[in-house]
Amino acid sequence: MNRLIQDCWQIIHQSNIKPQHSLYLPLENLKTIIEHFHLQPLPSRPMDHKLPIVSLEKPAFFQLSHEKLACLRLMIYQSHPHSSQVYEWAEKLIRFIEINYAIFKKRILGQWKPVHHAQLLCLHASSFLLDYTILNRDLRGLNSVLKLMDLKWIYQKKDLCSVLETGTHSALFQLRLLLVSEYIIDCMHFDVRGLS
Amino acid sequence: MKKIIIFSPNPFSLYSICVTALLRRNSNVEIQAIVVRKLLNISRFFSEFRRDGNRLIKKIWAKAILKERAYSPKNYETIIDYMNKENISIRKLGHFFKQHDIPVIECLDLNDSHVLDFLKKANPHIIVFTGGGLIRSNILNLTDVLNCHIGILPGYRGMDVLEWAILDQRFDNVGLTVHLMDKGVDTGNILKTKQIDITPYETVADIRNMFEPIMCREIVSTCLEYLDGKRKPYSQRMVDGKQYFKMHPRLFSLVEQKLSVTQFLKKNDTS
Repeated sequence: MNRLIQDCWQIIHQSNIKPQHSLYLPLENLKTIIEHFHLQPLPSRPMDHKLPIVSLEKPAFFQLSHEKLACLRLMIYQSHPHSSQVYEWAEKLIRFIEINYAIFKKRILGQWKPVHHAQLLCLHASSFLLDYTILNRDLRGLNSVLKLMDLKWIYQKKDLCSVLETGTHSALFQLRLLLVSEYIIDCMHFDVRGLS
Repeated sequence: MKKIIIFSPNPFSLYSICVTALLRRNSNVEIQAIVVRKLLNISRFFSEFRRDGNRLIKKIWAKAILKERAYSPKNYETIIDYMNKENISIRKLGHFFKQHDIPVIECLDLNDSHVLDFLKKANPHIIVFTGGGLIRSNILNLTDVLNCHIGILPGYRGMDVLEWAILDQRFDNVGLTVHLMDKGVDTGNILKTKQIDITPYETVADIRNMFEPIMCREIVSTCLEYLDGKRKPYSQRMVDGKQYFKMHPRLFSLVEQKLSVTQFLKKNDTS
């Protein structure tokens, strides 16, 4: 897995992708993880994001938008005092993914079209759930994301390097999922080894 | 005389057979019927396969094909050992009808209308649930439904909570809870919880096998105590726990690693 991570990171550095200039924040707040995998840091930029003005009331999967997800993720990164909303949203998203997993594609495409739009929102939601997992040490978030990463229409593990060369948000979010999920699993492996 | 109906997930469930046999030994208990889900049910197979994947195939292979042969001799008591000890020789629920005149009602789903009609006529004091899927509120509103959950409530609700408690290193939350079912998932009033020490076991499969005879004993004894008014249910607060879902294989492999490391440490400590 580390080989894939190294290859993907090389593509990021070789290409002209400017991941930090996106409002979707696909590669934001990865310093610890980049250090963990001994990757070459990205050009740094101080985190000056302001929380988008969006209503986070009535959490539900189909109420998701990139603005809301970016807001929730920034609340995590900035230790925002109203982060109980983060918990409520994460709880709703996990529940929706798990209960609808067997018919997930049908359920999602029934509401969100076209496929690439639905894919990007699912990837962004997964990124939020991984951030939530790290924040709350609640592995249910990682569990749901690992299941979404098994769905080829959302996450193209085998073609990730070629997908990354497109430089799209979808590609960058897929890289984020790879990095963060492997980081959390690595930490748990260390934890197991720590026992012995 | 207390009237009881058993709900069973399939005709070969050793847990259902064991619970039924133990309950009917009590002179103040009448087993009115066993409601059992048919095994050959295409829609059930596909819905469970979508949820469980290959684990369902393994489960069917062990429970319906291998049956007793799935339990190789272990250094702990399995449900087969327990049934032999208790002289329970029946291995298929249908045989209860032949041997003890207990009606066996087959259904595709426990919520089928003919099951509901039967329950209304039978008017049991309690239904003992030994598996078979979700129960709708029109059955739950008729009478108490008793379940033995493989986890300590209120902390660990839902699926694979044994694995989740191990992954969280909450060994104090490994055990069983006998509770009354309500419309939520494992949210009903609690009758009894029992912590179980799992440190001698190396795999999740071993722990689950070891749990089976304990589940039989606990659900039967708690059922009888509840019917006699000796055990009072108490409510649980949602905020005291979380609902868990099917565990992804990658996390499951970490659980197995944790178990083997814990076992290794224990062996080293004792030597």
